[in-house]
Amino acid sequence: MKLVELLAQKEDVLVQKWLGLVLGEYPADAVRFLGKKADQFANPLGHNYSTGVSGMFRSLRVGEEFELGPVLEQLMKVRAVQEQIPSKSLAFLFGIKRIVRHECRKEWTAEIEQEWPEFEARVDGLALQAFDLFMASRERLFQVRLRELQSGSYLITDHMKCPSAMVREEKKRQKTES
Amino acid sequence: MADTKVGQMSEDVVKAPSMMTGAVPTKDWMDVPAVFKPGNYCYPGKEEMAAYHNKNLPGLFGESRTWLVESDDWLLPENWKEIIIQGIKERLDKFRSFKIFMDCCVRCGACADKCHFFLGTGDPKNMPVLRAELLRSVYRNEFTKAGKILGRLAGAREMTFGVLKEWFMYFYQCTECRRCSVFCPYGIDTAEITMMAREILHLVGVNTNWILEPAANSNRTGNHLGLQPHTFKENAEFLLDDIEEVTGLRLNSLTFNRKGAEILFVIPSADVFADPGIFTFMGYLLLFDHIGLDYTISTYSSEGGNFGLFTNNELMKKLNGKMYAEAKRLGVKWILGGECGHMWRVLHQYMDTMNGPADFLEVPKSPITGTVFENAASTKMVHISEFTADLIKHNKLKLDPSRNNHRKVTFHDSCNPARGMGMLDEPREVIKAVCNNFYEMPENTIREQTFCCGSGTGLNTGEIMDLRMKGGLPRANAVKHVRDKFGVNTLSCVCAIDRATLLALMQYWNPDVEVCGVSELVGNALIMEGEKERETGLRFEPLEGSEG
Ligand code: SF4
Ligand code: SF4
Repeated sequence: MKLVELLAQKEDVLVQKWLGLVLGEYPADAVRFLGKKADQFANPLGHNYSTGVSGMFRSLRVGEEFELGPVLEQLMKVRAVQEQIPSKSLAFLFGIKRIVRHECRKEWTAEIEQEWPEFEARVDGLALQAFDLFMASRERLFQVRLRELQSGSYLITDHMKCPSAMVREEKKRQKTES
Repeated sequence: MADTKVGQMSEDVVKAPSMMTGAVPTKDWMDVPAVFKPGNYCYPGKEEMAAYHNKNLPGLFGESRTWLVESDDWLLPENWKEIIIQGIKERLDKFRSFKIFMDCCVRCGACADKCHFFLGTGDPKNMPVLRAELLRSVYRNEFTKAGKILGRLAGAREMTFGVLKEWFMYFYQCTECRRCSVFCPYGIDTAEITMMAREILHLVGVNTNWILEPAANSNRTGNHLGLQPHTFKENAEFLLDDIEEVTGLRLNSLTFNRKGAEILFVIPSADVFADPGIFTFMGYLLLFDHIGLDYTISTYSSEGGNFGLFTNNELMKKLNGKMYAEAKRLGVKWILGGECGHMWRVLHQYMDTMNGPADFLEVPKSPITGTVFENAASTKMVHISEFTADLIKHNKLKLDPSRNNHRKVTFHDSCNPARGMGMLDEPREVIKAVCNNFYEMPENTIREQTFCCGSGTGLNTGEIMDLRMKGGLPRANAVKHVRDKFGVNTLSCVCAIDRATLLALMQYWNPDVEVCGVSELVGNALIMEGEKERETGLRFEPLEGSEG
């Protein structure tokens, strides 16, 4: 059997394990809920994770045929606000390599072993794409914050000042203190 | 779900405690400490802010000092525990609902997965039932026999600094939105438990600046930003120029502090200075001019919002009272209120027992349609959407809804007007009359079941942006759905906090969706006498058919 066929055959369990890996970061009480296949509006976080993970798996399996962009972007937006450092947020992506090897160990053949480096390279490519989207989301978050700062309140109140003025004053204060 | 095989395989980093809460799977919630990191807490109140409030309402705001949330010494008064226990006791005696809410939860769990903060963060302490337990556990320890004897077995625990930290974390991850209460068979309102907890935290000076400062400004100059009367007036008049540019008309019906006007109009102050609230304000002015309303705006009661609601009931009462004091001074007949959030919550739920009934005013009657607003018979205050819907129903407005054809609109029920005062249909009636393209979000995300914007109750501050994006995910997710399905590009609402917070939320999650007030849509559609042909909407965006 070829690797692609094996991946297709085992899609459900592999996706579940991969999803379990990322949901496993949440406290046990929450995992029970997040893993439930509830209506997407009643469980938006679980829904975003499961759509994201199954989308990533689909794209690893079928390549360009699946349009991953929007799905991955949404997943990375979720990951980018979990208050984790980037490496921690993205580590689970690489987990799929070990999940596949482990879950498919009985079916593993020399032929599959030969195909394996290409699969690994795909995962790495996916991770790099995800990293870009993750950083773009962080960037966007800061833009949102900046825009909010600029949009009014700080600028026109009688006793508050614009952020750059506050920074200037802070510097002056530090100088006089030292 | 996370089986051990996957667990073994997973990277070590994946299994480390979440930075958000320090939560490690498998531990009992009482054993998971709250850990503060930059980004997961609001900045504490500035010393001078606490001092200011203390001067006005002695004893309610603790000792003023400069303190750091991440420090292990919050510079609390020596007897802080007694103050807290005493604070709980007094409130149990004073507020019957608090006592009931402490006693009657059966831990059925119906509320557990209904909070947007739990749905967005996956943190179990954001389940409303657990949030309440944070306080209830201390209540049991101090005020129930079982708790005193059995301690932890009965779900009781002592008040410690660790508990205090937990309160500060999780009672500031509740926006008092009341969604959970809709699902509780006993009607337990966790929002009110949060209110009590915050009151008690304030007693020992544990507070946030984003709440103390706007509340101080409101008390001193009349609005959150501390805009003085002349600045407030100038800002508002500046918007008359914009109206003139769009419609060719110079409105002259706007007045300030005019004695003898029939109606006092109170708005959230953000409507006169912040994008996109200013367009809502332009909508109000066009509407009033269109129907020839005899109204005035007070530069002293220039804020509908009531940040007192997030501190304690005394300050809430004081800020609410200001509107009535101005109504009396100006001698108006009744009050009309703009698209504000917690102004309405306070008015609907608490005003009557705090400052009411406002017998010196008349029961509001629309001078245009003659409709008497019996629902406001005691508070004497009518919501702009009720007022507008009534005008529309009586065919008193000349409207061209096609001027909003460039917008595909959905409506966000803001928690306060929706769950706090039960206003669900009026804004929809207005929108449907002034727009041709209106699409509802899914049923379990609107009306009584609406999802909070994720940043209410003084959480709309920049330092917790990550948290806000998580808390707002359930709302954003539903907006995304109608955007993908119907091409919705406009999220309308009737709350000023929402106009600001949904803007940030959309810019992150759904950047092509704009946020607007309902009255902005009204202003776009109103056919004013003598106006020029409109080429743009109130925010100078080209109308459909006039692009290019
Ligand atoms: S009031 Fe709202 S934010 Fe607070 S616990 Fe209930 S659902 Fe959550
Ligand atoms: S739904 Fe009501 S009774 Fe049930 S756990 Fe929640 S607060 Fe308690």
